[in-house]
Amino acid sequence: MERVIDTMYKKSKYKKLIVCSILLIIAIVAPFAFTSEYNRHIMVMCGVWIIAALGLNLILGYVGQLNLAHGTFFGVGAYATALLMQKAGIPFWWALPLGCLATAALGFVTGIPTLRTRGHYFPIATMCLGIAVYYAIARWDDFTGGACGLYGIPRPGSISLPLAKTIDFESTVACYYLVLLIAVLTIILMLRLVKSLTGQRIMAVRGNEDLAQSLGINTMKDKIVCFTLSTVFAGLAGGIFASYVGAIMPENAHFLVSFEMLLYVMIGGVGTIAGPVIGAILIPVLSEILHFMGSLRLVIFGFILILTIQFLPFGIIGGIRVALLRYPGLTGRSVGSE
Amino acid sequence: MAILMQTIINGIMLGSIYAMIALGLTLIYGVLQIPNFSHGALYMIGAYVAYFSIVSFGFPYWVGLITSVITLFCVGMFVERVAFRPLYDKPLINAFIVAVGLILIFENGALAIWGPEFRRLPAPSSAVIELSGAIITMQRIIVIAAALLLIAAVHFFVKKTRLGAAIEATAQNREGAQLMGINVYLMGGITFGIGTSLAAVAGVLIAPIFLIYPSMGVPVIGMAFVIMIVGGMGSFLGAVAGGYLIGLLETLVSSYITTYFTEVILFGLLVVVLAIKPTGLFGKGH
Repeated sequence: MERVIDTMYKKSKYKKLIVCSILLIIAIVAPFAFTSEYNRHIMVMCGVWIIAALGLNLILGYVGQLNLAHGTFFGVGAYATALLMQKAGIPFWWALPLGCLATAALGFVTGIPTLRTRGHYFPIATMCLGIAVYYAIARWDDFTGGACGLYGIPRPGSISLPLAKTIDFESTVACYYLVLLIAVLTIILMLRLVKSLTGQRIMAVRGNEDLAQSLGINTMKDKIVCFTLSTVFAGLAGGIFASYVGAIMPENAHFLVSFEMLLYVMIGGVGTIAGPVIGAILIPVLSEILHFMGSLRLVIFGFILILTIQFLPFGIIGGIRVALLRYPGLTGRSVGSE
Repeated sequence: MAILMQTIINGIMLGSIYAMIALGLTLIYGVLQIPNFSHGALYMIGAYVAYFSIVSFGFPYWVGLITSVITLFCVGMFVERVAFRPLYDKPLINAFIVAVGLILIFENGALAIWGPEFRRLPAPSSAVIELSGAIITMQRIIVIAAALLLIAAVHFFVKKTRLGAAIEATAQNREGAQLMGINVYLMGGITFGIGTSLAAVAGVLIAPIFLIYPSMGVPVIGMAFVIMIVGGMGSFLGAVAGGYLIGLLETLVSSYITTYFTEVILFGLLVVVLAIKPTGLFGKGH
């Protein structure tokens, strides 16, 4: 029995590898299919959202804690990176990791008191944090530029390759490949993390924290590590966003950003790796298509969010899994593997 | 001295608003176990309903207030029935996310229908009272008095009426209440309705002093949750005392220390309270 499952798992693993390679090739050639600047810009943004959404998925999907300040951490990363580049004159390649570090520090400091408590405190405290940080950024005129935000943030500096070739990031396509690379690395890291011992432990925490604790798991430590790590990805996405777009405003740290990321994760499929990726591509593209509707499109997204949770709690990926379970002939294998 | 007096009166007024909102949140939290993130959006809807019934239909202020309360009671019951009730036996986190979805719907709906402009509701009375140098408008006295009256009324309702007792029983022990023949689903709906109508009252009372706009609920809901945590989740006394405490603190901080970073300081307070006493000042264990 064990062996059957093992070979099935291996088979599905190969299938997955093939599907992933095809998708990666599509992602690599995509800029040649969509040549307009507008389309390429949306593609870069999707990459940024994928990184951030995977971070949110780590704390929401695997640890089971609703962080309503993920967008705030995105904004903090964006502001930290931009300020380091503009005020301290540090190049992007140093400012980005330092910006992530600053975000992680805020995550760590807020995570310790809020994750110590169970259930309801964490989403409430993170929501309050989001509001507080938003006002702090919007009103600290001397430091963050206040409501006007920061302008003229430089693009990442060019890097020289060993073959005497330099890559500069002035073009959207170059930025796209940079974001794609980081997004792919994020996906790989997340896959490794979920399969690792830490990943197994945090899923035990999600399932039943008391039971996990009784098995000798230091649930508090794992929760804080995962939360801090998830904020790092928010900060990373924010830092790339700041340098790519070149301008940031307090609205980039607003809790509406958190809500949008929540949409990506929930509609794609929470607690999976593919889900947030699908959501972070689908929703921004849909949002661009529906742009003429103004704020009404967020009303529609609100309805979609509520209906998703009521009828498809694991989003699109969950829906696909249910469909495969019902019609196993579709792929010739059963569901249940990650 | 006059400035201090003025600050304290303003603080009590702001505290009255916070106490009403936090009380509504606490009632809902007690019965449904949901921190209703969309409470601030419902407060905003309440203010808009009153605005349109007063300014567009020419109703007097009090009729507008009652219209808003009745409308928001119905909206609250409807929201509970449609959005939250299907999730009763699901993980709580799903209901939290539904509350987030409701914010998207209400806030952006208001923005799409009524636009981003600020509106001011005319005050029912323009009388002014002078108290040892401080100038107090009639509306501020109305807010303070109405809040006291309402808090007392809610307390009386929960402690002395059969319906209130049924709601309290549901909050204390859901299964037990169900075994006693209480319709816990109906209690959830009624509680949600009462909670949102409390938010509506707060919105209508504050509208002549502050302004009405689609995101007016945001700063208020942030404070209301700080109050809930500081006061202890689900504690009636904590919500009321915490409301006045935070209201006073906020006005004192903004008139004597900084106008810019009030929210940040109060959030710092929340982190400190959580670090020292995670169940809040008036909270029982959980």
